[in-house]
Amino acid sequence: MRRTLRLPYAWQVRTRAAVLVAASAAVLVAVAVTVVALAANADEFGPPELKRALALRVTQVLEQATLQEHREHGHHFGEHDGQVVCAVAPFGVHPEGAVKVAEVRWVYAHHMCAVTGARQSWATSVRAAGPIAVRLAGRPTVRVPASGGDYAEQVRALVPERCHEAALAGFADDEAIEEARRRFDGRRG
Amino acid sequence: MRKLRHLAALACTVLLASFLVGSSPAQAHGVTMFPGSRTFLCWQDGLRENGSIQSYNPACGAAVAQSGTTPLYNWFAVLRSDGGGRTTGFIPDGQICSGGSGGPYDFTAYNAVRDDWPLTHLSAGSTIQVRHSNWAAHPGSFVVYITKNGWNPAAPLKWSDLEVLTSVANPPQSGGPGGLNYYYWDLQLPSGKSGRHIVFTHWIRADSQENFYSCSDVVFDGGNGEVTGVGPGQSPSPTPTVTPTSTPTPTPGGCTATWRAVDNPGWPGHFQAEVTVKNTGSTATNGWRVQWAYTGGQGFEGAPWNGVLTSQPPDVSVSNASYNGRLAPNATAAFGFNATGSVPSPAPALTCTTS
Repeated sequence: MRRTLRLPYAWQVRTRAAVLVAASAAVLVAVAVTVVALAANADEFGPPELKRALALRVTQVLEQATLQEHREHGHHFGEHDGQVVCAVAPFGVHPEGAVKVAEVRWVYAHHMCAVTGARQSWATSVRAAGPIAVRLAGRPTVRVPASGGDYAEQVRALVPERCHEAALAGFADDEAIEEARRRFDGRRG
Repeated sequence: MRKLRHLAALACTVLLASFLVGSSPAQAHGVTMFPGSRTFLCWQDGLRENGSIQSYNPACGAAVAQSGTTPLYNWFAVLRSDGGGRTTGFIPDGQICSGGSGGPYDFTAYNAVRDDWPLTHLSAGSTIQVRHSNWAAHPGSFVVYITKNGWNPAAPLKWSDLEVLTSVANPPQSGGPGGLNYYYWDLQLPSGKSGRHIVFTHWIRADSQENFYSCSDVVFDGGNGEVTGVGPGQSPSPTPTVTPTSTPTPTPGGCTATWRAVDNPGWPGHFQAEVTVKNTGSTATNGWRVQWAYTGGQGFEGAPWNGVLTSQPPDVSVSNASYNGRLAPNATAAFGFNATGSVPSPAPALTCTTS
């Protein structure tokens, strides 16, 4: 004959409470771990290779745009300016959590573009910089912060809130700048 | 909405340009480099070696915070493609320095009424050589204004604050377009000026409606063109950072020459120098010449002002300009220039000869 151990009712209540407390604690710990993990990855939005691939893609979009396309998105390069050479440092994507280029619909990045026609050094040839939003799906579209108002507000309107801090910071990727400078020096001749 | 208006204006400009035979593209460049305009000096102030802009000057920093760095990278493009020579009634009071708000870049932050913009120090009654960038050369006139005595620097700049100093048509250029060359002309500054003023230059193209606008903050305090409020280590003193100077030694040539070099951290790979010539003879000179040898590969960025380069580096020779060769005994003249490379240390030995 099987005997079932039955706890007294008071013990049952305490046990259920203990289980609930333990479960709640576990959930809290899990949440805390997630929060910490998210905070640690606030500047990261995916694997490094995704960042590199997106930087390359956005660089191509900017450097291969026609003068008309540049004007349409707010860059006023002219015929005297020669070639456009850009450094790009992505800081976010949409949708959040995309891990492959094919999944990314929007890239948020810092750009710094110089023109070879100035026949000057890299630094004195830069003509545009700052955060931009680039739509990759379909025909690539570049959006720059609108002018004529509060610049910080325009930047915040351009990128998701989770990217505001990075967008308002300066261009932080020195390696990207050096690589662009090398290409610039090579093309300037 | 404003962006749509900009796009529409640009589209119209492009369309119009395509109908005009031999028209130039809408993009042209020109802003005063000496006395430096607000945008030119703020660009020099904030430009770092890697191309980023991080302002040292607080007025420049506030302007960058308000409108981003892209306008400042285009310091030479304070323009209106529809300017047509117009002033009052077209450019509103308080927006003279930005040329209003209809240009391709938003320079309205550079209209701010502040007393800490970069500053050029001048002497009333002296003659200076104005330099205005010529990235794209065009026929036209430069109208130079100065604020009237008694104007209020603590209020937005109004057209009624300004009076015309001179108008110059098609002045000579220091070098070809592209790069940091410039138009130049001599300007006699009025006497009876003291304290803070604004020199405003309006470039009116003769071959299109495009106009350019430059506000230069100046102070009449006996200065010789020194610039303060640019780069690190800014101080309210008008004396710029001075590197080792040469001691003037009497030469058989009857004149001495003293070297003073100013490092320019806002312009990577460049410095600015000034040489003061003094007649140590007992009779007036007809002309003078200063020679020195660079040993560090230094060169010239554009032409000297108030002097004529008569021999290229490394063995440099600068002779007087047409208007400052005649020096009475003990009188001085000074010429200056922008240079490439690092400041020579020690300062080069200068030889001065008169004729």
